[in-house]
Amino acid sequence: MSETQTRILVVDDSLDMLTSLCKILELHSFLAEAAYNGSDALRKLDSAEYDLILCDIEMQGVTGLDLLERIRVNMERDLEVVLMTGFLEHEYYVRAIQLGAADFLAKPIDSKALIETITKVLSKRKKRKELSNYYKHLEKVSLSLEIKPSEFSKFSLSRVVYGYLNQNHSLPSKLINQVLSCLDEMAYNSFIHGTLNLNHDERTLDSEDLRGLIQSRLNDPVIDSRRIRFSLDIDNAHHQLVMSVEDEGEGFDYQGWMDKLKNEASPTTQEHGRGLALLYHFADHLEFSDSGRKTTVIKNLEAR
Amino acid sequence: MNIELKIENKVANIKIDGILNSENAHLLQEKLAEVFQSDANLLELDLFECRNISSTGIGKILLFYKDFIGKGGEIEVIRSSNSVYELFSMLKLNQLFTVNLG
Repeated sequence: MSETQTRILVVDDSLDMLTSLCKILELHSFLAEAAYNGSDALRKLDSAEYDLILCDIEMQGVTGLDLLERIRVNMERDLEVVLMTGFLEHEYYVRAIQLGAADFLAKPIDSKALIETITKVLSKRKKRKELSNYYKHLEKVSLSLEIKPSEFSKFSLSRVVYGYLNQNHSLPSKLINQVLSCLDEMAYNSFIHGTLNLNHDERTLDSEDLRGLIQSRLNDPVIDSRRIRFSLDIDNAHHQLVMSVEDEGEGFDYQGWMDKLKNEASPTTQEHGRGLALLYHFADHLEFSDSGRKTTVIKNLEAR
Repeated sequence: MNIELKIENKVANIKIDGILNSENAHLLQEKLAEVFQSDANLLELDLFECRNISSTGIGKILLFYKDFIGKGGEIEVIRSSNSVYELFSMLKLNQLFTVNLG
């Protein structure tokens, strides 16, 4: 078996179907492994890496849709899933698309259609991975943004960064989630405190009033002249992700907070300092500079 | 991010899909306000498809928790994703209410 051979997990609770699908795939030089039902597939996914899953939808117990949901939501795995079905109700189809099914195959399975579908799905995956493979071999890749307050409030920075990381860098989902959590805390603080300078009473207004207040602040020329600066470096040479958010506000007593955070056994759930506590616990290294106007989070990357 | 609320037989069920962050936490606040104003005495949170919750989102849940138990209500996380379960455990929120994984 070559190391680059595509590995496919075939899931079906019909033994005859499973055997014939594996044989067809092997004849076309794929490495096919059989899972006898959804639970068996979950066990195999726990211990091995696959490029694609070919899965029957209508199975007893863990169905094809259940399996797809667990792969996407709980296991957070980036692999292609092709679903096979004798019939497909509209509701199932929509759900499968929402969960990111790569394609569908109608039963009875035609071997030519099977190979064509798998080849097409794998080709798309390969193209998607090419750019991230290129970035992976560069010593450093950076994204830098300077954002006007009015633009900042229109589009979430988390969405921008999620799209950027997802499309260009193959990073584990758990790491991306933690980076986005940190970013949300950093960006929220830079906007609400560092740029709009909202006090506690203003921040706790009901959402309609708060929206109105934010809009009126955004019309203030002093606030409009401020900028929020964001940078993200994927430093492959040092196996680090370095993310900073900087504002032009008054800063804060970060040293006092850092001393407090270092002495806490677990993050506080108190309103004041909860965001900082989460940052501290999610970051491998947390740093403040420029009197607290700039926050930098470093996450270690495994050698890629 | 998507939030669904159902209230039936004094049980409210909120299902959150996606990432709950400072941008959309007010949507949760609105749903929680509906639960508070209803006759529900149990809030079931389904966070199985919720990939993460920011401190703002946690804040909304904690504020609601304080008011809701004050009128005899209870909260239970009936399902949660790995990341949310880890976060709730780290914050020791599982000492305030039951948090189930997956």
